[in-house]
Amino acid sequence: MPGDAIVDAVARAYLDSGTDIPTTLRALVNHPDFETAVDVKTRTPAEDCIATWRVLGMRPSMPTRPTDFANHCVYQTVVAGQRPFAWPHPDGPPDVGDAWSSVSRMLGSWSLHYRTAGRWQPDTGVTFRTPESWLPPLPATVAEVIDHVSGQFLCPPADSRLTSVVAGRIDLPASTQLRTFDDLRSWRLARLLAAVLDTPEHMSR
Amino acid sequence: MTNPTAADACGCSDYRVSRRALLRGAAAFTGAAVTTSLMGDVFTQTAFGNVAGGNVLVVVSLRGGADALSLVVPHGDQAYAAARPHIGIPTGTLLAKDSMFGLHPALAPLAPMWDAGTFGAVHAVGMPQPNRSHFAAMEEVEDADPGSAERRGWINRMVGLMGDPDPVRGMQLGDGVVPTALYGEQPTVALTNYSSLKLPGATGSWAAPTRQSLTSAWTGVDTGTRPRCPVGTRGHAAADEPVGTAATRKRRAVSLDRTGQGGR
Repeated sequence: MPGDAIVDAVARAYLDSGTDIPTTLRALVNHPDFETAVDVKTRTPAEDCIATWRVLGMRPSMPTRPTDFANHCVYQTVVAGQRPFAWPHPDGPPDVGDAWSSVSRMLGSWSLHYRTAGRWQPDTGVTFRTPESWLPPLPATVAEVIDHVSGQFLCPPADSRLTSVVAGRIDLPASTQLRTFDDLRSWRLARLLAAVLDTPEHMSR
Repeated sequence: MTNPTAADACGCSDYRVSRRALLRGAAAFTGAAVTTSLMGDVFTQTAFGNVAGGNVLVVVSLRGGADALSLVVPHGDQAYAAARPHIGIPTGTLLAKDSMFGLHPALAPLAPMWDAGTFGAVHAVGMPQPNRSHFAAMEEVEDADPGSAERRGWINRMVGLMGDPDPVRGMQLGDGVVPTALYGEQPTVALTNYSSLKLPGATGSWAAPTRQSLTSAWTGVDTGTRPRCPVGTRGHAAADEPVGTAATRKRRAVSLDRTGQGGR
């Protein structure tokens, strides 16, 4: 929830300006609380879908079939629990973390991350980055690969906790030397990308 | 025999099998970080699959898909035949008839339960002052709390009475969006189908590493203390355009008024 200070400042700007919207928005983004409000809320399922498609560099093309990404992607929001315009109440979907931390939401988001990281479903009407493009120049250690991916997805470099989480997910010690892409066989790259997306870091906003 | 007996007319023996399968699936997660509850910055873990025995209430919602006047036919009301001269269900074909109502012939499998008194019908449920809005009527039925402004469905309230915050006490299958009847403060589950009740990619020898990794990712996390990136920079590395500094992002946001309607 926003603090009283920013609510008061925005309310004051709104009233003092005679309900001028640009002035009100300026007051919102110029307030110090705006910049510190990063990562303290839970991403809603729909936001998670968009963030996931975006960080994975997916490029939709004009759809020609119902199963093409641009048509089918709404189904992924259903799985995550928040189909656009489907909320049954007139009050709209809740915008608080509690409401989006359910079992089904977590399973839905984790499933979304794994499917899209693996470039499965939907795999038509969309261009993915090549699997190799996620890696730093090889040879590199598993820890270095995780750090490289974390920097692209989350911005901060991987800390020891994230490294341990992701290395555990692909069942390889962090110190393992990867010589070629083939060393990440058994869908390890999809698991690695999904592991970074499955974290509280990606799932908060 | 072709018709089920009254004792098993509901097909409950099949349902028990399904329920066992469900518990098997859920048991696979027991002790794992399948469910997490994010309350502010605090993640709490809830063990999953802690269900044993007891009764099961199955609610099948055909939201708008059933014509009650064809299911439970008011053949004794003269207005029925007058209003439905062509699509009315003929009186002679109705089952379990009394002077006013009878069941559609396709409900024959349910007739033994009707005769045994274990199946009934409540007709024409809606609002005291119908406003012809299907949505408003459905909300009244699913909310089942006349006069209250609380957004809390009747199934959620019922789950709450059990005093046990087990998230699989209340479960919807068919749509991932929580319906009005299930929505509320009690944790529940809404899934498109039963098979999605599993950890993705956790098959065979991958089950243990996946479970352990997710558990450690979501245990004891305080999102408020993590190193932060400048506003707007996170997750932009894969995008084509340069991210810019926090200041340029802010300028971009402020420049809304030059591109949006009502700009000056």
